[in-house]
Parts: sequence; C-alpha cells; structure tokens
Amino acid sequence: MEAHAKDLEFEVRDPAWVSRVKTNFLAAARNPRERALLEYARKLTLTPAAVTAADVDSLRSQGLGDRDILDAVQVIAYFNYINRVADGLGIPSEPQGIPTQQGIPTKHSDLLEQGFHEPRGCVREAGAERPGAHDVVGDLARPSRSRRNTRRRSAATPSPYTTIFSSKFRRNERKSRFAEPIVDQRPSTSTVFAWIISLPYSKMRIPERNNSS
Amino acid sequence: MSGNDPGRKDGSEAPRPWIRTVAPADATGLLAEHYAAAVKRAGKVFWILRIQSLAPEQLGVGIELYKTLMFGPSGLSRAERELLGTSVSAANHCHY
Repeated sequence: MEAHAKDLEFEVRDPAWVSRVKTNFLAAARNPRERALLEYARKLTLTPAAVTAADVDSLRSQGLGDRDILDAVQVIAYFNYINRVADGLGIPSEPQGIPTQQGIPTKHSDLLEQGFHEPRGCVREAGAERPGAHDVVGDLARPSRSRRNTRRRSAATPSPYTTIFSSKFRRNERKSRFAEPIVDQRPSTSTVFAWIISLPYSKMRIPERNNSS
Repeated sequence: MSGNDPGRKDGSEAPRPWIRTVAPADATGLLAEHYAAAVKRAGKVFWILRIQSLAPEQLGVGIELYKTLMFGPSGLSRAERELLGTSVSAANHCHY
C-alpha cells in the first residue's frame, strides 16, 4: 500500500488526500466515478464471488466504457495477485524506503521507455510472527542518482535569498570580545568560494611563516 | 538467501522471506539481466522482485504485465490506476 500511495501522491500532489485513501479509501473518493471504481475494487477484492452484472453497470453509469472496465479489473486483479505473492511468501519490508517517482522523468511515456518501475506487492508488517522484519539492509545502496536524475531533481529551485549574519572577528576572537560587529549579507557564489578557498590557503601559509622566522 | 547479505549492526539476523531467493550478487543469466534492469530503474532490487528470483522467466512477464497495465494506454487516468492499486492493497491490509 505504501509504495503505491507514494505513486498516487506523485500523481495528485495531495498528501492529505492520499493519507485518507490509506485509512478509508471509499470515503476518499473525490467524485462519483472514483467512488464507483473504489466500491467495485473493494467488492472484487473482499467478496469476489458476490460481484454481479449490476456492479459492472454501476461503472458503466459513470461513463466507463467496456475497455475501461476491463482495464480496471486488470489493475484490481494484478494488485490482488501481487499482494498474494507477497503474503504467501513472507517478503520483508523495505526499510530503506520505497521507490518513488520523484526525481525520475515525469512523463509517462518516458517512464515506459526507460522501463522504470517494477511490480510491488504487499509486505507484511513486522509483527509477532516475524519479529525484526524491519531494518532489512538493502541489497544495493540507494535509488539511482544518475546525472539525468540529479539534474531533474535539482532543477529550477532558486537558492533562498535570506540574509545571513557573519562576524568580522575571527573564530577564536569571537568569545573574547564584548561586541560582535554583525554584518548583514546575502550569500553569493563568490562569497562561498572565498570561504572555501581561504581555509586551505591560510593553513598553507603557516609553515612558510614559521620557516622564515 | 545467500550468505553475503549484510547482517545488522546489533548482530541479529537480517529478516528473510519464507523461501530461498537469489541475492543480486549471485544472479546469473536472465535473472542477472532482470536485476540489472531493476537497479537501473528503481535503484535497487526490491523484495517483491527478488521473491520471484527462482523463476526468472515468470519475473519477466510479470514486470511486463505491470508496466502495461499501469503505464500503458487506457481510458483510466494514471491517478485512477494508482488509486485502485493503493485501495486494493489497503483492503488486503497490506502495509507496503
């Protein structure tokens, strides 16, 4: 559930709603069409033998065509299938997190092309019968951060232009002075470079000075 | 499960499923291809994939079915399909 809740969140960008889906999905329906789909999914999942033609008609009355109904049944059936695979074989949880689509190309055609995504079933929670099922050490480290992913992940987020305070005293002087001359600054690339560069350079000068004295 | 799974820091055993699976390091042939593709698209081999590792030929068609159903052309929107998936798993009381 959590894995696909993340994917759902990616699609709708509404965490509060997704959390309602997880706790009470029938009540979370946002329109009659979703409500009909969810009622059908619930019935086919929990009491499959009780499904009748009337249930299919209720989907039709919301404007779903036969192909849409077929697709809905396939998706519902697939998740029941993969849930059973997981439940039947006791798969461990994924403590390092479940993959999300964030940071990965967002166009679905791209996703398909790249073969992104994999079937996910249900992982039983670490319970009394399987103590310590949390904290599995992952097979391989982390979600991939290829150059392409990184760029998309970090694109178009301007750095915050909040002002920062910096002291004109050196670090070891600060606590020995009564007043701190505080300067209001906006961080800039050149400032950052100056800070980075000044440290090694200042250290490099020290032995020189010692030698000459 | 093979022996090269890292144990946890407190020395307890890593949790394992109820059947044998093939660790990524031990995979060969078709399974190694599936694992490599999984790492490429998802960053790691997730358990739901690894649990099927004794039958790589089943794994392949399962992945294709999933991708076709969830990302292929359909009158159902992506959100509707994920909504169905999340709700079915919730009805099945699945945490994952």
